[in-house]
Amino acid sequence: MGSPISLLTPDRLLTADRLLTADALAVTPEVGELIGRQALDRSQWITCQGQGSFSLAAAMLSAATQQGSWLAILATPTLGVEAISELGVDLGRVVAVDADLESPMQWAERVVACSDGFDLVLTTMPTHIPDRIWRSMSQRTRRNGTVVVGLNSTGSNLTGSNLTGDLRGVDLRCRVVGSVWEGLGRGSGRFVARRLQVEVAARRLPGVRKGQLVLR
Amino acid sequence: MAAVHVSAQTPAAVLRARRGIARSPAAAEVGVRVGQSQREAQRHCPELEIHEDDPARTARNFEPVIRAVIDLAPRCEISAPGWLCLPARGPARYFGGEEAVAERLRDLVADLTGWPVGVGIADGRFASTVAARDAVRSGPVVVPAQTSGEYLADRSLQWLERVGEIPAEMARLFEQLGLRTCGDLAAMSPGDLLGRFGPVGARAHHLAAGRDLRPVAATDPPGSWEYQRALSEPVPHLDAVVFLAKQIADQMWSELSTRGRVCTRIEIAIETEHGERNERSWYHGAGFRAAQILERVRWQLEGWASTAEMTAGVVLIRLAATEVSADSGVQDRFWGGRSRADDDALRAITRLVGMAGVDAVRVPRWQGGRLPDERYRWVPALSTGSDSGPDSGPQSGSQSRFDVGPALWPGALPAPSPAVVLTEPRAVTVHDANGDPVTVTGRGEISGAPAVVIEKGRSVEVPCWAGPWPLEQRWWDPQSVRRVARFQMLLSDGSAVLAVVEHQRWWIIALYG
Repeated sequence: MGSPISLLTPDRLLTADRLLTADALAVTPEVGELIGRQALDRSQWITCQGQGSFSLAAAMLSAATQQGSWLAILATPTLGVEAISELGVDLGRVVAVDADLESPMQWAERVVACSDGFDLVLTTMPTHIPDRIWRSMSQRTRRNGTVVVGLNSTGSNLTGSNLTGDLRGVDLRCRVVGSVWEGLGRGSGRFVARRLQVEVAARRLPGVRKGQLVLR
Repeated sequence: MAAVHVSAQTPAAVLRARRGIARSPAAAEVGVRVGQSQREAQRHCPELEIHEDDPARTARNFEPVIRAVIDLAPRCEISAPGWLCLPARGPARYFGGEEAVAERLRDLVADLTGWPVGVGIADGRFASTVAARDAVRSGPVVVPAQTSGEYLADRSLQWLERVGEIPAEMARLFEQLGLRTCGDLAAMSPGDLLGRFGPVGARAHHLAAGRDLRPVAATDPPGSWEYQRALSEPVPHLDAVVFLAKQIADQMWSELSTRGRVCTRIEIAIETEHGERNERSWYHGAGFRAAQILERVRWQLEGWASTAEMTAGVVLIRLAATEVSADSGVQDRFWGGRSRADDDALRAITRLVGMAGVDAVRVPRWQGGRLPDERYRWVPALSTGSDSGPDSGPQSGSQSRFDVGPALWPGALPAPSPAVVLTEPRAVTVHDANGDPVTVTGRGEISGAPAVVIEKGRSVEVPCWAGPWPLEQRWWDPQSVRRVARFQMLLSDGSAVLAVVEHQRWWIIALYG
C-alpha cells in the first residue's frame, strides 16, 4: 500500500528481531558488490580510510540501521549528521558518544560499552593503541557481536598510523584511493554525485578487491 | 490521574521512559514535576514512590470515571486514559450554568477515586485542557466565552507540545524565532504561518489563539468511514481481539491516507456474544495512525474487561471515523512497538551516561538552518527537559525529531551534504590566477575566479569550483545578522570542500569527506 506504516507492522518487527539474532547485518546491494558479500558479518572490525571514508562508512552501515540496528558514533564530533542521513542512516537509531582520543584506555572502555548494546559502532581511532588494550577490546567487541568501523581523525589520508597494517585482527580494510565528482564545473554547477574508488582487503583472503561505489 | 493505589498523601510518581508523566499531590508539593528524570525527582523527594507507566492499568482505573461522566454527558470523547473532553453546552443548560457542571464533574470524580481532578471549561479542546491542568490545584476554572485567546496569551509554547500535539521541534523553532508565548504566536498572521510552516503552523496558530472548536480543515460528512469485523467464533482474549482489529485499523488508515485524510475522532464499538456492547469516542488532534487506533482499542478493552459487564468473548468490532480532516503530516511515522535492539540500546545509553556524563551521550535533532553546522543539533540522549513529546523518547526509534523537514529552508545547499562538518572552521586565503586575493562584493560578485587556496603557507590549486551563493541569515534581527557567501571547491589534493566568505575572510567550514 506504499504507506509508511507498512514498514513496521508487527511482522516486520519480527523480521527485524530475527535479523538481530542472526549472524549478519544487512547492507545495500551496492555496498555488497563492493565488499564481495551481501551482508556484514557480526563481530567484525572494519577500517575505512582515505578521502571519502566518512561517507563510505555511513553507506556501509545505513541498511543495518534501517533494519533496526542502533549505531553509536564514538569520538567523531565532526561527522555530518545530514550527510549520513542522506546516505540512508536512520537518525532515529543514532547516538553520539564523546571520548578522549588522547587516552586510548578511556576510548577502548567506551568502545566496549557501546558494543554492549549497539549493533554498530563508528569511531575515530586514536593514533596509537597499545597492543594489550587493542587485544582485550577487540575480543570483547567480538563477543558482543558488534560491527565496529574505525576511521582516522580527519577523513583524509593516513600518514604513519597503525591502521594501515599494525593492528592484527582487522577483518576488512577499506581504503578510498580516489574519487570522481560529478556536477561541479569552473564557476558553475554544484556537487551532485561522486564515484569512490575503493580497495578492500579482507583478513583471510589474499589480494585486494578493487571496486567503486557511487554516492549521490 | 495516576491510577495506582497510593493515597493522596503519599508522594508518588509515574515514569515513562525514565521521565515523570504524573505525580501525586503530595509529590507536587515537594517540587516533583512532570518531565523530570527519576534522579531529579528523587533529589526533591528521596522517599518518592516510583511506578512504571502501564497504560493498561491506567485504562482499567479510568473506566469508572468514563462511565460516570458518560451518564452525565453522553457525547464525551476520550483523548487518553485520564483525559477526556465533552461539549459543555448541553450539560450546562441542564445543570444550570458552566460552573455548576464543572463542580459537579469534579465532585463526581473525587467521590469515585479520591483524587483531585481538574475541570476546565473554555473555547475549544486546547484552551479547556490548559484550564483543566490549572484547575487540578485551584478548583474548576471556567474561562468566559470568547476570551480563551487572552487566557492563553501568557502561556509558554511548551503547552502546544504538551497538550496540543504540536511537534516539539515546531514549538522550539518558534522559540528560536523569538516567539515566546501563545500570545506572540496568536498575534502573527495565520496566512504567514501557513505559508511558512504548512498546516502544522496553521494548527499551532489556531490553538494558540484559542480557536480550536472545530478542526482546522474542513470535515467530511460522518458515516462514510466505517469498518467492521464480525468474528465467526467469539474471541475471549484481549490480545487476540486487538490483533483482529489490526486488519480493519490498517484498512481504515490506508484508505484514509491514500485520500490525504486523517481521522481525528474515532468511535470504537465492541460487542460480545451475549449482546453486551461497549462504545467509546476517542480523540487525537494530530490524527490517528493505525497503531494509535489499536492502542485505543486495547485501552477500551482493558477498561471494559475490568468491569463485570463483559461476560463473553468478542464477536464484533466496529471502527467509525466520526471526524476526518486533511492530513497535515505531523504524526509519528512509526509503529509504537519497541524491538529488543531498542531496549539494548537504551540500556547501553544509560550505562554510557553513567560513565561519561549526561552531556557526552547525545542524539541528533533537526533544528533547521542553511549552513551545515546549524541544521542539526546534538541534544543529551537522556535529557530531562520536555525535549520530545511524551511518546517519543530517544529510545523509541521514533522519527519525530526529524520530521519538520528540510523543505522549510530554501537557500540551503541541496544534497549531497558534507560528511565532515568542522567544529573549528579553517582559515584560508584564496587567490585568483593573477595571485590577487579573491573578494566578494555585497551583491555577490567575485573579483576573480578562485585558482589557489592557501592554508598555513601550503597552497593547493582549485581545478573546479562553484559559487558564490550568498546567504543573509537572521536579517530580521540587527544584532545577529550574518552575511556569508558560500563556495564549493574541488582541490587538487583530491579534497572537496565547502568554503564561506564572511567579512572578506575565507573559511573552510566542511569537507565532503
